[in-house]
Amino acid sequence: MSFFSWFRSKSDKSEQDELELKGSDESPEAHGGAEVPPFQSARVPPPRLRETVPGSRLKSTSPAESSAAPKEGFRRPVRATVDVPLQVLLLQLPPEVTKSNIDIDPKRRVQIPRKSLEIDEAHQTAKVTFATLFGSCPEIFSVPIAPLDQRTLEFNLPAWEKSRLADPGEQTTSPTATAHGESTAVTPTETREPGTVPDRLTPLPAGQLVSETQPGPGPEKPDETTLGGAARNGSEVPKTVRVALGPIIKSLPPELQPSDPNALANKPGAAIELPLELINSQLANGRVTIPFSTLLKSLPEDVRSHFPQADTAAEVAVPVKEILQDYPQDLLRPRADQEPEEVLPAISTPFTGPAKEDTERLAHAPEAAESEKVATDSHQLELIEHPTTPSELPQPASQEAPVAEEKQEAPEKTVSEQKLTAEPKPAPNFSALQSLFLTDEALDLNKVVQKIGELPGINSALFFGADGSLEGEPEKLGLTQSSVQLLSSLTQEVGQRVENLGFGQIETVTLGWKRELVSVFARGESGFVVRHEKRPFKPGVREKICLVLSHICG
Amino acid sequence: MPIINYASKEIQFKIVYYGPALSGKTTTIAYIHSRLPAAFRGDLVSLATAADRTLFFDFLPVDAVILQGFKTKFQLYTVPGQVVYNTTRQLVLRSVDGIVFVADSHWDKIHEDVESFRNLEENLRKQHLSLDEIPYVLQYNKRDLPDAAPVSYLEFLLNNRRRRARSYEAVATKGRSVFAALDAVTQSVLNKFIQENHLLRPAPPRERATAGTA
Repeated sequence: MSFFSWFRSKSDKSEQDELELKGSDESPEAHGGAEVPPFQSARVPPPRLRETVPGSRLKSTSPAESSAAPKEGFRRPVRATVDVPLQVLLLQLPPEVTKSNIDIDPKRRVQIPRKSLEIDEAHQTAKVTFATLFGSCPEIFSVPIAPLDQRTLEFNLPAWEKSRLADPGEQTTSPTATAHGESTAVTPTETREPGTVPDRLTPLPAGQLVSETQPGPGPEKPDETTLGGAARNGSEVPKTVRVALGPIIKSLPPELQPSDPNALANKPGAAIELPLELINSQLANGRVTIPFSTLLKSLPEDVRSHFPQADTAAEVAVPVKEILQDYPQDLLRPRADQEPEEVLPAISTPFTGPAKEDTERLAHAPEAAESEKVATDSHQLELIEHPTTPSELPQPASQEAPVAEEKQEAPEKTVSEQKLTAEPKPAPNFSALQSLFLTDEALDLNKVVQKIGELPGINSALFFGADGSLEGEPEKLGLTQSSVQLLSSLTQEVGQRVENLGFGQIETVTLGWKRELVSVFARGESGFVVRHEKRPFKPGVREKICLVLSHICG
Repeated sequence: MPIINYASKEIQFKIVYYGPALSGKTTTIAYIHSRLPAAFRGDLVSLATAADRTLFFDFLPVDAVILQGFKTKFQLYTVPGQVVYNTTRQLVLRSVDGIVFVADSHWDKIHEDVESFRNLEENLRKQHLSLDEIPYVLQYNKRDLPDAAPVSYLEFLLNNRRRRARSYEAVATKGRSVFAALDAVTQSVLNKFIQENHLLRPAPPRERATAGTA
């Protein structure tokens, strides 16, 4: 029996929480009324704390002794986070937002920033918003939670927090993480999924841990874990991130655009400041949005008046690229507790040879690599295989150049110099389009037009050149040369006007009548005309034709 | 789990190219197909519907690694990246031996990268698999874009598991790091197989004929 008591007293914190879970359904009144304190006597008896926490033995001495030596007694810390067992949260979370098949250990603890909690000391419960919980543990949610979702979840505080609350004289002590065999910075057994909060990216450096875990009085630092590595390393981390206003305005939907978007977007130095906390919780998702109302609040008064005041609840995207311009780079550092990829014995595979060849080939083609960077369309860059230049061909390499050298920039030329040195455009290399059409067949313009006509949802196709030549079967489209020219000039006119509106270069114009649809792809004075099979483009087809055209027309 | 054919003395490994739509999976596999000797690779078969492209690529390597008298054979697959084709992705992922995650470096696609990576983990979990046990590499594609996101951010988003994965800055259209990524995952797969089956390592690489363009 004594062994059993000893074993129970040595049990770890997870066991405490199991007890707490069992007792969470019980109200304080169930323990016998007012004379029984709700927590201290019923759930965590003092002897347990005395045994499990170093230094707590002093607490069990007489009141006179404990008051005589207050500095030597155990100090329960105020930690920046509250560790809550996952099971406690799952019990309270509504099923419509909870993932049905969760493979996570229910005893796993979720670290919730203390400052995000609304703690009810009287009832020893706490409330946390769904958004905060989603930031700390997105794995348990079946649906994404908006950052400003105001729904809250109430749960019983963990035993450790309850005992701290029950002991009012011990709330100003400093953290003693090592006393409990754990660190507040990193949960060692946890593998972070993409999308979790970035505040655990960088654990405490060893020295920092030691200094912070030394017992002794100190100020409360609730922000240490939520601000990431920079804060823990002692460097100053700004509380806000400055984001240029122009890109935000450009990404606004039309109904939220200001009255004069171009003037505001191009205004030099126009920027807003967003709370770092708001950014941190979303940055790991690769997308950051804020409510339109938040954007309006961040704007200066003179700029705000240009924006419509309707639909302030709409979410507005903030370009991550702009955020990272001013974002503390320390917060993006990889976690120090990550295990590096295991170094394995090299085995020669069928791919080793081509890998070396490619490295050598590309290391010797910096100019070609640079010249090909002019294309800006991501779709172009995905599928087009550019014409092979002599410098791109596999060459015997004498030495391997680093990848960085690929980005050497050629000396800039003025516009006049470029005109003087401009060479006639080379004929398109149709073999590069083989991978696009997934064929080994030798291609020419006629076959390319034929292949386009065979794309899903396309009835027939036609290519028109700048010199007025046609490739394909105009009669199959029901068009004559003059009507094709008319379509070409119409597309150019439409493109020019749309471009003047600030929508960028137009790629396709589709004309429809009755159940007929004809689309025109134009680049300069050349392009394709395709006839649909009585329905709009199927996914990927329009993009593919754009790629072919950009390749043929340069 | 590789397929071992005792009759033909072959071991088949399955490598899956995973990633969001239009990230360059098809381009990658088409490039690999174009660079390997035609005599020793299968045809590039596209099981395409009107909307997506699911590719199946089967070939016999030039210098197959011999493991205990068995020739190794690699089957390369891509998955349709569109969100709606998750069932297809789950089917392709069955019995996977190695994964190359192809991420799009464009700023506008970063969120799709994260979503796709989560989808990969979820689909593996449904098959009682995990990235902790399956060799995988990250191929950050389209690095030649002028508007490419920095690698540090991509690493922050995608390479943040407990075990770091090898990552490659790639340009599939030019073949940059395409074979390097494939070679890395292949080596990891072979090493894992050797370790699990307590096999002898293959002989050191010998001088091989250069794999010319097909």
